Amino acid sequence: MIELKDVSKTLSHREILRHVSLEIKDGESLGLNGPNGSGKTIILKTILGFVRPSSGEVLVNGVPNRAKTLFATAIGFSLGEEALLPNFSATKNLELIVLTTDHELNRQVIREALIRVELNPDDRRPIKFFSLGMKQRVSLAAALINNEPTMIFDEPTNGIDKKGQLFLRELFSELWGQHKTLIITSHDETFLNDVTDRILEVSAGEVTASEE
Amino acid sequence: MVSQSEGFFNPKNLMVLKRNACLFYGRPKFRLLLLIVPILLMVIAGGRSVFYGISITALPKSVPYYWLIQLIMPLLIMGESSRRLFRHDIILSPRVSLNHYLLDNLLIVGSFSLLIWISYGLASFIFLNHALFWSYFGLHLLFINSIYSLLAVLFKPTMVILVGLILSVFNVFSGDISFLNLTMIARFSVPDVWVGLFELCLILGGLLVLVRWAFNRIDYTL
Repeated sequence: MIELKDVSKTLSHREILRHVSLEIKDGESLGLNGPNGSGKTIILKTILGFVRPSSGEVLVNGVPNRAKTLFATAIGFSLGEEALLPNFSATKNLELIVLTTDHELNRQVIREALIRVELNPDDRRPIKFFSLGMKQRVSLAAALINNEPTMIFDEPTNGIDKKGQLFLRELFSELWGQHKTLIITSHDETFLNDVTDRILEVSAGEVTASEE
Repeated sequence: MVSQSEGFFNPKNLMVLKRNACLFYGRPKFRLLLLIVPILLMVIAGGRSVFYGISITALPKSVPYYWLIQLIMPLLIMGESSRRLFRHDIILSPRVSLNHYLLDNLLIVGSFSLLIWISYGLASFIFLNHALFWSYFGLHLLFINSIYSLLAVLFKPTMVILVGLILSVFNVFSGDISFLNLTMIARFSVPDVWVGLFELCLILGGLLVLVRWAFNRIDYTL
């Protein structure tokens, strides 16, 4: 379970999160909807431990963030291309993600993860030469590779074409069927309606329940 | 399967080290061309002129620009490399310890310092006549580059370089900072080497403690 208790974050005298409190139960699929710059990604980064709240507390499985480790454990995440190394191939990016966990490095699993997101595992080009959609798929594979019980996806539809969106819907349905805890941000409410149990609106750093 | 045995030099740690080295050297690869400036100075003006500096008793005092250039150039080449390695490209896993990450950084900075030391040495051949000075200078480079790499995690690299520049110029006139005095042949004295190394150890040790404390308090820009 993930809990945010009255979390606020101020950066350069600007309050980017305002008293955010939310609870995500195990096996739940939560959508965060809101315009660009509303604070969706900061919420994800706060859960992961990359961003330290100015006030309030984040608990992941009952453990406060940064109490024992710098970053939250057992969460797979896809934060788009900014979390990938542009000069490394897709395979190498995934190998590095696996190597920094307790999981064994199994190259077959990496090949399968790349095939699962419809990428060629034999493509040795650095990902800086990939299209936005291809980078997004590498990022998705990064979230899936360790098969963690909780997964976080930031704007997974960015750069993905219509065929890819169908694939994403199938993927999230599959994960939902496996009782994974999912947190997905998007400004596409229709997409979130299809793949999540409930949606929260994020606006100017505040979180409210969706009107629908 | 790749086994992940214990010990620092296991495949997992070596891959992280390789990754960080690629990132560290990947960014300043064009800035490495800046090395041409001090190297040309050493070839044209001679190593002794570049490293001579200015005696503490010399009057009137003027800033020895050649000395200043060779001193500041490694920091300009490193730029924001360490800062990005820690604040942007930090391994996104709780399973890579901060100690391991810091040690990786020190190893990489060590290799960079060695590169600078060898380049300066081959350009100036200063080690032929000033072997002790040259040995200290190698240690100085190692310490100063490590100190800079840690300071750049906490503060903006341009600010750190600017403060370093001001301190160096200040020390030309005051001569209060032993480890900087020792980088000039004109002020180098063997008994002061231990004082200089002690000062550098103290600063580096203090910074390691400070950075470890700060790591839990900073935001990662990823």
